[in-house]
Amino acid sequence: MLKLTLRGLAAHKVRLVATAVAVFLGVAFMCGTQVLTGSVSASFDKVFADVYAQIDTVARSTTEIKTPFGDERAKIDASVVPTVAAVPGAEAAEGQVIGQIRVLDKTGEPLVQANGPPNFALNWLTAPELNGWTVEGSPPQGPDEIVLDARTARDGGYTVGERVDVAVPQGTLSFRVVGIAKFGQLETWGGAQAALFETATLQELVQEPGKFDWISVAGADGVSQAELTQRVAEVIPADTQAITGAEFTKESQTAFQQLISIFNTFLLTFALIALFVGSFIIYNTFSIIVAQRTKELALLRAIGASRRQVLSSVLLEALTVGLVASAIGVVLGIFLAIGLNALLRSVGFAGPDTPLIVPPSAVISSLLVGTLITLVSAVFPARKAATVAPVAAMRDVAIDTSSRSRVRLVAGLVIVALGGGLLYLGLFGNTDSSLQAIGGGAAAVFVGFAVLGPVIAPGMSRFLGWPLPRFRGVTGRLAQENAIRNPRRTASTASALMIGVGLVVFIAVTADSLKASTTDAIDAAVKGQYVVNTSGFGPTALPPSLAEQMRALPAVATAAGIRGGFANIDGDAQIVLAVTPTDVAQVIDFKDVDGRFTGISGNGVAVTEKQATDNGLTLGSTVSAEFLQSGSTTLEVQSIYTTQFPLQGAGWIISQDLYNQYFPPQQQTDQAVYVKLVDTSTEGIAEARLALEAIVAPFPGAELQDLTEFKQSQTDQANTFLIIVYVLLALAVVIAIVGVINTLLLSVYERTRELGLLRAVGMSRGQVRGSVRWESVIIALIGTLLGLLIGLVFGWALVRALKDEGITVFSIPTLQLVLLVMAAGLAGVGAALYPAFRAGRLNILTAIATE
Amino acid sequence: MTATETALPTPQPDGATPAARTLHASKVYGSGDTEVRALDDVTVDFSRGVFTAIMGPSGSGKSTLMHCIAGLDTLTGGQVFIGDVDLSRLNEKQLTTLRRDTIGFVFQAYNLVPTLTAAENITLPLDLAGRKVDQSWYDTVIGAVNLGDRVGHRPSELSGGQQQRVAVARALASKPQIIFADEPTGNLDSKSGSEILQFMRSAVDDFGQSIVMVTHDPVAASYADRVVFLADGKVVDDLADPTADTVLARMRTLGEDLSPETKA
Repeated sequence: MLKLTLRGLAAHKVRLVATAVAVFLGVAFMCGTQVLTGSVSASFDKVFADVYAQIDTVARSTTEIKTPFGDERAKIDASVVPTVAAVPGAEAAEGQVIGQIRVLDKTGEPLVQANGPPNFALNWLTAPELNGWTVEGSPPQGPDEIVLDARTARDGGYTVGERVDVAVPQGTLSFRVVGIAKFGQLETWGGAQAALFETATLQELVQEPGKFDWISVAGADGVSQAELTQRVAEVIPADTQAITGAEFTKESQTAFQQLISIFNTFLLTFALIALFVGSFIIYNTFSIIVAQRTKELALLRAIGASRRQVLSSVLLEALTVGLVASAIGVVLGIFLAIGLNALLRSVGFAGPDTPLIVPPSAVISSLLVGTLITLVSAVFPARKAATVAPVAAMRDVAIDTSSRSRVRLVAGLVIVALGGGLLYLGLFGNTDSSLQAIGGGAAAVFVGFAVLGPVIAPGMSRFLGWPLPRFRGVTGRLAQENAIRNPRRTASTASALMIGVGLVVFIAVTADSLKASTTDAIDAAVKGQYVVNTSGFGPTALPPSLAEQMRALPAVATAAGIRGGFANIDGDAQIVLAVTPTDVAQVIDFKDVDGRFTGISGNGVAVTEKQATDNGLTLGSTVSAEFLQSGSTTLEVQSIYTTQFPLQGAGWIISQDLYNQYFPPQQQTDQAVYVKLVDTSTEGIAEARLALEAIVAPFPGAELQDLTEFKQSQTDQANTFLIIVYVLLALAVVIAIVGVINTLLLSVYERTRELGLLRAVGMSRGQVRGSVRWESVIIALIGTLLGLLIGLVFGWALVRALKDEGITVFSIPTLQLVLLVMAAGLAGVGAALYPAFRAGRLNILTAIATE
Repeated sequence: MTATETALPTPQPDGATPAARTLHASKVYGSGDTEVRALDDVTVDFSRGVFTAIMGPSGSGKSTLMHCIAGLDTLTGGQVFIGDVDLSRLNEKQLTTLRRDTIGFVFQAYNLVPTLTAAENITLPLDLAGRKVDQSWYDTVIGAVNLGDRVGHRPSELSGGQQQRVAVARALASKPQIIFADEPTGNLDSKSGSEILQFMRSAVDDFGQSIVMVTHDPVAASYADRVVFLADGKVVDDLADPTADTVLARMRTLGEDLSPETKA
């Protein structure tokens, strides 16, 4: 039987190409993702190891807030440094300051964009034991001096002796470049932009005089990290801790790995979607091959092959194809990773040039998944092959009879219902694993529709194809009939496309609803005429002086800034926003549910109605709030409010006075400033612009927007992300189209006699091509319409589920969807190109001679 | 009698050119030692309104001859005419049009498109041409097929004999200059076979249709007006008004002439 399998493979190699493509594209994606993230992760492991190589012990505060963007930790007082330095075995001890500033290019724009690599300001460590930088020129020694890393200097075109502008919370300051530094041999500090200052200067800049982020200690020879750390721990004050350099490095590495694992999971999801779509192609190809080999299989059975032998021969074929295709996929994936790595590097996201690392786990898991998916997809066709009766050898090829069976209908409906149930649970239920429930539910709905496909496909083909006989005559009629004649084949081909299209539509509908909800919310709730926006955060956001200057303008009635930072509220990290309630109430519509929003004062906090319900808060309730720098306090709920903007409700709002007590000056910056004018007529708005622009212009990264622009920028936020998602989904669609090509090729092959007859009685090559083309369009449209339907339902369900999050509008991007359907029709035409060419080129004589 | 000598023009009922004819037609496969002459200088006329049978042993070239006259295959030498049209001057597209509009085909099996109904199969060449169906002619043909309400059924729901009748009707529907039938009864039982032959016979008698049929069945050949015998790619005999017995007798002598066996 092994010989038979190999012969079978050899005989069907062309037909198996599509299977291989379906497998190896998905596998390549999967392997490439893992290699890339593994390599980036490994290279950053090395970065952190290098960056902290000199550190044997770290002394730091114990107070921390675990925000979604990483841990924030309180500073440690400079007075601890001498204590630590005096520990026996400590060779050097110095405080480290790490702040965020923005180095500007010569036109006054930030050298690094908001979504680029991080930008750090570091203090220059004087102890050579702790300083890994080598500087060309001189180290920063005075309040006017700055040292740039080599790449920043090169990118900005700065040389020693020139002046460079730097944006800090106080505004834009100018420094003299006294040196260009390399970290060891590297141009950058692990890919980040680094500016080095003298310690006191930097403390001043980040408005933390006498404070350090941590104290680095280098030990003398012969003193172990653990020993040194133990000794440091014994002398440092309460609320501080000592950890070894190794632990410190590990912490950073782990934090980065967690970050990259999110990225990894995100990409792997799409790889799995691609493989899921691919499994339909595999199933289809094997089904068709088995159907076309019925006679051969029956003959084998007639001469004594057992069912098990037939079954295993087909499965062995699948195993071989799966393994070979997965192996190709792995190789392709490694190349993909190399390419992506270069791409990341070219857009500035780069670690040091370390060679690509191919983790064995990536190779093994990719091979395993690819092979298993092929094998599993081939199980049903193989079982079908094994049930071929020996007498079938004597009969004509059996027709597809299973298409309308009741079992299929019931099974399909049950699977769809189960999937729908899971989706409901995931979206509306209270479960910890809602993402898994949604993913599993969506997959089940797709599978259910695929099972139902053969029942639906003939009707849809008839419906979609009805204009064809009218406008394309018998060619159209044949195309329509050909799409109907093999419902299972048409259905599983269309199903693959359905999944890709379904997901695209789902994303498009959700995104459009989000945009529409945002626009509606801004229309309904924002009462100002202008907004100053920034891409920066914290120290790089808008300094308070901006709002002050605006308030001073005669045309401005109110300029209300909104600032925010993290605090532990009842132990959990939460964003706390700070406003001047009377001001902000004039630019954003806050509706009082209980208490008076504009009346919060002292330790008062305003919460949204939802927060109040969720946390059981009422007026007068208290919550504990822990701030990084200035200890804890108790907040009293003085207002329960609702607002349509921002969508999720603003959350915890305290007065700016309270905020400024507890947050350091560098965080006393505005995230946005809403401006209300005195004259709100169209002319008034237009007239005010010039003066407002003049104020905003000197602040790097700040942007003045009228409401139209503001809405645009708010709704555009997700665009980049959307494009990435669409590109990733495109792979699934491409695989589905490969599936259409494959099905058509196999069908054309199967219909050789029929095509020969048609050509003999006078069908032109063009007409033959036309019938294949229109059949393809019908298949593509079936998949697209089913996908459209499912995507719309999914999108609607998600939007409903997110009602409490402020997504109140269900919006369908009609134009986009119409274009999508048209694109699907064109894809159908494209997919038919080669099969139609093959069909048209068919040799009539051999075709009609084929027995 | 040699091939060239048999090329006497058969009487033309209306004095027009024959429905189809060949002039020194030859078809050679391969070259040198592997050369095979499937057709060797064949000159033959097929008159209008005549039912001609082509007979010969396997490999005699009878199918090749038919394929070449019908424009399905090309000659390596000589000429083929359908009416006045020299097929060698036609390109692919023109040949297709010619097959569609002026030639009818009946094959041994697999004559019908399985996805179309019997009626749709009958009008297929007309539909391909985008021509309107001549309703009275269509009714005549449908009447002759004698399928009743089964014309709305798919081929898989028809018997083998019914399917072949539909095939003949399709060939008739476009009123072609000539119909080529390749072993039309080869897959049928004798009763269905004789029905088909009778149907073709009446198409010639009642509608003046010209038919060329390749067969190796003497009984089938006996329905024809004339039998052309082929052997080794040459026309070796021509028999008018054949009966099953005369055909059989002629075949026997041909078999003797042809020993030792040759392969074409």
